Amino acid sequence: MGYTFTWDDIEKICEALGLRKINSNVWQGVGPDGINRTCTIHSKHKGNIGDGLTNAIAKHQLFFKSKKDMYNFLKNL
Amino acid sequence: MSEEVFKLTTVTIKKAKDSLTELRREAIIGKEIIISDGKRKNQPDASLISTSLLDDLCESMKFTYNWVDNPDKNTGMFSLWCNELNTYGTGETKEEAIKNFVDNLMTYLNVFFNDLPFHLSKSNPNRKHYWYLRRIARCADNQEKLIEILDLPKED
Repeated sequence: MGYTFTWDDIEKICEALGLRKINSNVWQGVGPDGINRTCTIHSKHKGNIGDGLTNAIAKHQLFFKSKKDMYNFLKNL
Repeated sequence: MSEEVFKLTTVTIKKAKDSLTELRREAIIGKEIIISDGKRKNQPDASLISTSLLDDLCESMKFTYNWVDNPDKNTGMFSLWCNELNTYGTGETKEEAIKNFVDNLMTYLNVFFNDLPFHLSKSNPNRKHYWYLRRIARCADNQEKLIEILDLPKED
């Protein structure tokens, strides 16, 4: 099953993780799990984010176990 | 009697202030001088070390990339991912994505060095980015050198 995300979705996830916008496209903060995160968001780009990039952001910027894990997190907000 | 084990030189802040020129000269030839706070023992130490040695250390920090997305029915964008810095660029062409990556990298460089306590915190998995970003920061005003060390992927 494919899990698709828009930049708006990533912004919502960042907010829910306790990150705040520190400049036009960087979000940063300490999550409820105590992990410091920094995420770059291209909010001016509309439409879905590519599958590979979503996967990399989920695992390496937001530290979810997987894209599916990030999808479930978003659905439960 | 066994030979005495070599130890790095440790001096207090006061001693460092009094003999900075001499200590700097020693650091240039390769000695690392650890400066400790004689009054506040719980404060971490700082080192005076040759910049050239640190530059050599950073030389081994290489950058690798993956094209993680090519345009398809889901997205019309290329996405370039840098494995060492978890930074990306996107664009309708590879050239645009590479340019966007360099812009994002420069933003990240500023964000990182403007808040070192946050990024070097033990609870920050990105603290390992420090040496890569230092390498970039050392040539941020030299575009040619920057392009050389980034070793960006070809556009085709």
